[in-house]
Amino acid sequence: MTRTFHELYQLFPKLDCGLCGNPSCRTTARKLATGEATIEQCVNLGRPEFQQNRERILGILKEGVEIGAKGTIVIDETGVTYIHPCVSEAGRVAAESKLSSGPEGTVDLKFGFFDPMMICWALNAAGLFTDVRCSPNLGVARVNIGDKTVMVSKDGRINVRRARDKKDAVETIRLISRSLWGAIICSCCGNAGVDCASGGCEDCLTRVCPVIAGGPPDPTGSKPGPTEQTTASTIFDRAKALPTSSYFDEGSERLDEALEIVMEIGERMLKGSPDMKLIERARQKISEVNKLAIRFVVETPRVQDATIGLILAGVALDVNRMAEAVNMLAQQKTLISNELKNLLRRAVEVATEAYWAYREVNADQAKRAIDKYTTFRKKWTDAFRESSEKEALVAVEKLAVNGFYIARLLTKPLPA
Amino acid sequence: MLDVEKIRRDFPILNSGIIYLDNAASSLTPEPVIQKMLEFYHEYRANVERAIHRLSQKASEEYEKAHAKVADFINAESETEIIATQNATEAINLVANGLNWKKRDKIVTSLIEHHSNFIVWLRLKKRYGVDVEIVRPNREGLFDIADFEKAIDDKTRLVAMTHVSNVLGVITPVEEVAKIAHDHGAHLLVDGAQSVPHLKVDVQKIGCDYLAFSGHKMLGPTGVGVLYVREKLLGDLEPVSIGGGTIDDVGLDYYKLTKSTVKFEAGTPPIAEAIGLGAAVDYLKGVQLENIETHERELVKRMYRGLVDVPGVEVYGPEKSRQRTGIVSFNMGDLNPHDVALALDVSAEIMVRSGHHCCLPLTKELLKRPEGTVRASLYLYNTKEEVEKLVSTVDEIARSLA
Repeated sequence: MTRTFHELYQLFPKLDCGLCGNPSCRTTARKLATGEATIEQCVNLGRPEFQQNRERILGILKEGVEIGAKGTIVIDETGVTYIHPCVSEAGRVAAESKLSSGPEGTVDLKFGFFDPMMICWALNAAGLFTDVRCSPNLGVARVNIGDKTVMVSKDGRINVRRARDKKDAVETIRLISRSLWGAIICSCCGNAGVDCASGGCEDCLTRVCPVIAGGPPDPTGSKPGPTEQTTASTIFDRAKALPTSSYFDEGSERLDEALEIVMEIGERMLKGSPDMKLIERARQKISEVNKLAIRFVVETPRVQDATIGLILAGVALDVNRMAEAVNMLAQQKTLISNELKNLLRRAVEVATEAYWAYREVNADQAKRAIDKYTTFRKKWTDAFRESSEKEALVAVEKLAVNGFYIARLLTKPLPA
Repeated sequence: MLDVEKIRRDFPILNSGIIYLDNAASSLTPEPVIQKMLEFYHEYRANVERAIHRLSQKASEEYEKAHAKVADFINAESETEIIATQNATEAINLVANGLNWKKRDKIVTSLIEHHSNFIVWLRLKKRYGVDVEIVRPNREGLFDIADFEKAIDDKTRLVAMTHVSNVLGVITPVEEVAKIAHDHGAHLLVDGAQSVPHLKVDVQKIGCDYLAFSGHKMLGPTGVGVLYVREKLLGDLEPVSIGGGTIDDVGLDYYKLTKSTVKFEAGTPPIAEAIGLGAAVDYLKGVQLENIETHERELVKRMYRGLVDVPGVEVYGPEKSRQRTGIVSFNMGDLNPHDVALALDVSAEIMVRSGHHCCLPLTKELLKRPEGTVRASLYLYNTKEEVEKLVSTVDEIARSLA
């Protein structure tokens, strides 16, 4: 019997180091399962401590991994079906919608529809739902909204029970669809929408990303209309004019604070006195950003404008990975060598410069950050080959590459 | 022993990898049955029992042959005892509406009945003032024969009992019930919708007077069911619908219904479906019901035990496989059964039924779960691996969603 995607993913190092070219191990695992990546691309799986995982992954791949929908391309009509299972709540409405993204309402489901882990992330982050129960392994989540129950499935199915009427059912599906926009997998690159919005995918920045451009699928099949080009350089201005601007402003401020905390940890580490209590504070700030970003996405009237919230969530994801990186460094038992310190200093510089370039909408500064990252990466590659501090070096790279993702958001138009 | 792999090849619908465990609602259809129905459309598509031409002759012959096959399958004395209906529900309604009821006639039925063998009797109570007495089983669905004896009296005209509960899978001791009913001069109607497809059902051995069942639960097509009526009772039963194909003679102010059972099949019957049901009977006889019974018993042991062992799962019905068929109902804490069923479909392509299963008296009164249960039900093509997948997925759901 085939294995689930989650079983495969669990065997990955889950360092999200970016060294394979993908911003997360989720994406790499998906590409590996569909034959679009090779196991050699993962530097960490090549390390002796992951030898066993590597072998088990190869075994699972032989057994087959059930990842997307059956077959490769499923053309699916979007729409709402009012379903009639045994009536247990007379007078209430049960509805099901199979969401579909992409142009012309078609979607290649080879990677599946929702990223199972990001379903859990988005539903929990939003803070809009009660009793969130989520299983990445099953690819299913259940939430309550008032007395309604909603089930979300990795294949894009959304079921609502106990809706007051048909309108209520459609509105509920619409709310869930918007909340989960960032969890929809791009059929081109295999990243979740929020990974693309984080600048983590080069393809998404140069081509039209069907997930971001297509908007969150509407249960009634209506399209958001002609999309406008969204670039990181315009989002701050555009957000000002929106009724939901306070979510965005507040979210951006919290993210500034989170970034500052993470960089402070980095600086202190260079001085040899890291303060890991700060990590928890950074995490709290980031979860506040997520909540505000998803609220912005959900409540902003026009889908085209809601994209801005997705970018905020994307950058928060980058900063969160930076926080993970400094945490990884702090877990190192041995003292940090001078060479590593040197690289860490450069990584902190890349991350700081990139973030503030984004915040101040300064394209020149973003270019400088990218140049610094290029230099960093050369030195890093030489060091990694010889070094015995591989885990620490991976963490340093993770810190820098997430700065690079953010800087990249300013130098390329966003595909919305 | 069943060659399950060979059987599965006859059900191409399984090739997609689905795990079909909703057999108590409707079974899948094997290729030979589909082919037999296609043969009708391709080779002798015509009306039956009407015309003299060759197509009609051939169609009539096949249609009648299907009746004979069904008669033989349940060991009826003759095919004249077999009436083709739409389904088991229509068959039961034919008995309810075709008999001449008088006030204070009594009907004894049970709490575990499907609505189709329950509300029809409540309607007679409303219409004719007949008394309806409901026998309660214990929480596992098992009957105490003494309770039947208490419920039944000499005013009882009909006992209407299911052979197998469609929720609990528990088997009713219909042979004993038949004896008790006959001792009181009552007749016995057995709802065989859940038994005929899975157990060797012999109307003469049981001693029942009526037996209702559906084709679509026994590998046949939808749209055809059967009412067996003991020959000597055919005269008591008035057809509910009359018209084409039911008469001996008609004049301007009179009509004379035919004596033959065709009078119960007014209008053009579901011909292809009836012929398909005949082919389904052939298929079941080919693999032998005894083998199916053994196979399902093995699987249901695993399924029941596996589910009981999942923390937080409540399983209904008796564990002893001698007392049950391959239907297992369960619940998971406060999780709505529809949510469980949906999670099983989405995560493992497992199809099960959820809800009250048209058995509200049972789910409300006996199980105290008005929202119903999750029900997994087996058939000849299910495998050990499928049962294990069900159990492991239920386990995962219980851990992550409940």
